Amino acid sequence: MNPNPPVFVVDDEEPVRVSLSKLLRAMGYPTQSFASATAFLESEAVSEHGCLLLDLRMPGMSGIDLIEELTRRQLAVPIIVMTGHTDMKSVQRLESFPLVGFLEKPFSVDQLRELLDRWRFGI
Amino acid sequence: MSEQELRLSRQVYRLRIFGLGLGFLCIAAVFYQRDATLLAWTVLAAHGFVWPHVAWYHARTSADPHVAERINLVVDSMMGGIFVALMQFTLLPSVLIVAMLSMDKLGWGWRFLGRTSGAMAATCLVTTVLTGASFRLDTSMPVIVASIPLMVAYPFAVAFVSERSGRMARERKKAVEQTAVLREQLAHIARVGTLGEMAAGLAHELNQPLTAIHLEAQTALEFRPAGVPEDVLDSLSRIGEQSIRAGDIVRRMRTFARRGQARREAIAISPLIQEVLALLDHDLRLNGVETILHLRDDLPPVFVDRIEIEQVMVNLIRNAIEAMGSAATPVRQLTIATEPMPRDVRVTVTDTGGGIAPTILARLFHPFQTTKSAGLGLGLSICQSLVEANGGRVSAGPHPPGGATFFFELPLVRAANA
Repeated sequence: MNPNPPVFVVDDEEPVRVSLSKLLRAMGYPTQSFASATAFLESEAVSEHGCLLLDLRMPGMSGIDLIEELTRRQLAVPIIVMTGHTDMKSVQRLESFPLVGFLEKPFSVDQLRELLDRWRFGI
Repeated sequence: MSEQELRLSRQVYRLRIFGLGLGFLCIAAVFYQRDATLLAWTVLAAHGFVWPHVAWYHARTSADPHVAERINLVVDSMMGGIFVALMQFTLLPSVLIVAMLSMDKLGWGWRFLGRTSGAMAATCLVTTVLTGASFRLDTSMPVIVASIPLMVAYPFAVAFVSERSGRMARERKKAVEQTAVLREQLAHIARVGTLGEMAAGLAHELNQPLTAIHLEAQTALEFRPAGVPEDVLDSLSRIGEQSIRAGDIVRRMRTFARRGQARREAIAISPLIQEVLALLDHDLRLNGVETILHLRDDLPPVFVDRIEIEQVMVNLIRNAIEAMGSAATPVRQLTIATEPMPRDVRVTVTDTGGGIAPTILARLFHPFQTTKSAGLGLGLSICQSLVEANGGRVSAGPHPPGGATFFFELPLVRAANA
């Protein structure tokens, strides 16, 4: 098995997307980034065994919509949710989904690393 | 309060009409006794009919009840003038005293004084001419006895009516003024509210670049480039740390500005106070305020709404900072203490500022009580309602060496649920 499975970044904010991709590459993960939920759904990344780093608040299809769509398609994608604001309602809606974890922006690299480790090693 | 309610009550006008009617009957009796001319009767009838209606009309149409009431008093003086003339000016002193009394209810003023005296003098003159009454200070016993009812009844009637209506007019005027002030304050609150909402949006927008800055700095460090001076690496890690710190400030601002349903939960009070202090850190440092904390770590959790109690702390601390803001404050110490009580936890905020004037102390928590030029006077009133909504009490007192102490108690989890 590939020791470094890919991480997909879905965020409408270009600076966040770029720096996250760079950081993930520096951490040794193959990375692909998408500017919108639709772009991710239409790509081949959906069927790959990678972790999804997902922003909740996006114009058009939101992060929650994407999670619901993936569930509907029965795709068990491991997801780390990034929230710009801790909106209680959105978080409550997400309780029923098996997520890897939450990151509240701005998050530190250590928090990200911890969640990625949890995903990869099931800590 | 509606415009209708701001007008003088019907009751006062019924009294006034009753008084004028009574006066009319008295004058008619004198006219009858003296075989007054038809012209005199006509003028009296016109007075009796026209003036109450003029007064009534003014009261209905005037926007300012104060002004309407003044016009009514001028009308009353006219009726008084007829009395004075008919009693050959025997009643002059008592009527003048009454006029002054009634004027006193609505405040003195040269114009008003001139108008009432003028109205009285003019009707005196007209009545004198029409009835052939002469200026004759008759002090014979029969005249004095005959005028006793008038001397007693008229001053009492006028004083009573004008006192009532004057007081009501003043109250209404005050209410009108207060409404205007409240409207301004409401506009101010609305602006502050808009700012709060903008801050929440701004906080969200700022988070994105802050995340990017942090990640960029960390990425650069992640590569651990060889041959790069230690100072550069240090700078990068500082950029990373400071962007997280900025994010923390933004996060607190946003949580604070967040609106929503009050939600009470078990909260440790000491960390909450630390959070608030971090939020106000800038203000504290800018004003050179030294913070002394006596926060106990072993306190049981309190059952409160986090945001509301944060708001209370922010208000109290900001008040304390402002109280110590003047240059005349040599020692600027803010002391915050938490201590356990049998059923609750007490939080004490003490400053070394100017203290609370004893005259204000009783009204300290009333809304719109302010000693600040720019303040709304809502801070402490909000504190009180928030603390009480959370099942606590807030009180204040002087701090012995100078300054003020505010303290409030918050219920423990088990006490609130019991």
